[in-house]
Amino acid sequence: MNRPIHYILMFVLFCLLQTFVFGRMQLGHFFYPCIYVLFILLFPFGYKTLYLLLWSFAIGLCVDMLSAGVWGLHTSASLFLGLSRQSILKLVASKEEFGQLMVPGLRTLGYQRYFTFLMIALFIHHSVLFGLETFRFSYFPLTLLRVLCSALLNSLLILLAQVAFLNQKRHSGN
Amino acid sequence: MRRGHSLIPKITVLLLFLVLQGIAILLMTRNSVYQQAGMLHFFNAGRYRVWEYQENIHNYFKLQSTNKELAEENTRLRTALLAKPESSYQYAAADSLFAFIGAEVVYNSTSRLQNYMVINRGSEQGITPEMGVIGNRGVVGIVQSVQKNYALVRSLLNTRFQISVRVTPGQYTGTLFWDSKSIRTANISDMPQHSSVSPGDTVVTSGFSEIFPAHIPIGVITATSIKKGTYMDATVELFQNFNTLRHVDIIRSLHAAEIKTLLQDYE
Repeated sequence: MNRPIHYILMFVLFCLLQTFVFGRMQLGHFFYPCIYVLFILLFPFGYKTLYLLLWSFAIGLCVDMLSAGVWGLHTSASLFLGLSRQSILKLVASKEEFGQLMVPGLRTLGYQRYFTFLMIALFIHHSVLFGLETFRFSYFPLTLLRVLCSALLNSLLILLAQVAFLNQKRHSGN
Repeated sequence: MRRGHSLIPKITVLLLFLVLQGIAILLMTRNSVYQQAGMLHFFNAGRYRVWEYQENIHNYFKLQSTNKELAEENTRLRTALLAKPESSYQYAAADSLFAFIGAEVVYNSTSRLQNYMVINRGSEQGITPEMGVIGNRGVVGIVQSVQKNYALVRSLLNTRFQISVRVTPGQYTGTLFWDSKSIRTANISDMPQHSSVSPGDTVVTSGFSEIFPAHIPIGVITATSIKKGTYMDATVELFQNFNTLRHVDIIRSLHAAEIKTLLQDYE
């Protein structure tokens, strides 16, 4: 994933996956499948945050548009993730890794670091999403539980996706 | 080239973030207050179309539950009809002495001599033994025993099943039982020889017991014969197809206990 056409294809793919497959899953109150977040996380290490914000805004808006609910929730959550992604990456990756045009993934980071990266990223995204959705401090423990459950579920989903497409990526690797 | 993110001042990034976040918040507030109005109108038209398309696909997976809902609605409507004395509906003759409880058939045998079915309602839902069970086309059986959430129903297709029936328009009464020859037919015995019963007459419940209200359809007479020169027998083609039975209604007689007490006193 390092050419504009790839980004656009991925964008469409994740929009469709989120609205037609994962958004449709009813897994109860605490588990919200949110796969489109992976789109924001798939940009290369050194991708400019300025552009990433625009992409985050676009995919958040698209998901908002296509799914039932209050407008702007996904947009806002995606923007927060777009803004903080670079900082999270700095936590889990070394300076040398930033220099290369590589995609943060299972292959480049390994299980432990990638999982940490996912959990932090999803925690930020879901906190904003569910926090704005409930919009009450009195529900804080419940919201926190939702955030943690969903973050765990989506981390595992993304890990699964990474494992499934690992070989394919190796072929088209840079 | 892409490493140059440090060339762009951090403040620009933050500014863009704030602007976009502002738009997101604007969307949130506008949407919750003016749901239908303003600049979102155009987008809404598009997303409604997408939803409709999604729903169309989704509906295929929901067909089964939709079916169930419709059956439940039928149960409700039947109960409502019962409560309406002036209704032209046949069951209305029973006034509001009966209520219906909807259930799904979870097991159903039709190939034996003593056929039974199991329904997914039991004592928890107010089912007791000796309650009548009807399907969408007519009488189906009588509850034999109940568990907490399930009940065993003695099917009409059971040689131990008997029901008091009336043949309209003649108003002659008799006893209907299953002759075990076919799952589509049953027999009526004990009708007086002089009964002017002819093929094509409709067989309904007589309402002589507290199990079934009067006028619940059972079948149509296809043939008659005089037996031993004293009684008339008739072959009845059943309305209900027992092989496709999915949803049934259990009839709860609201006065059954009272009638039972009276009969006990009498005996």
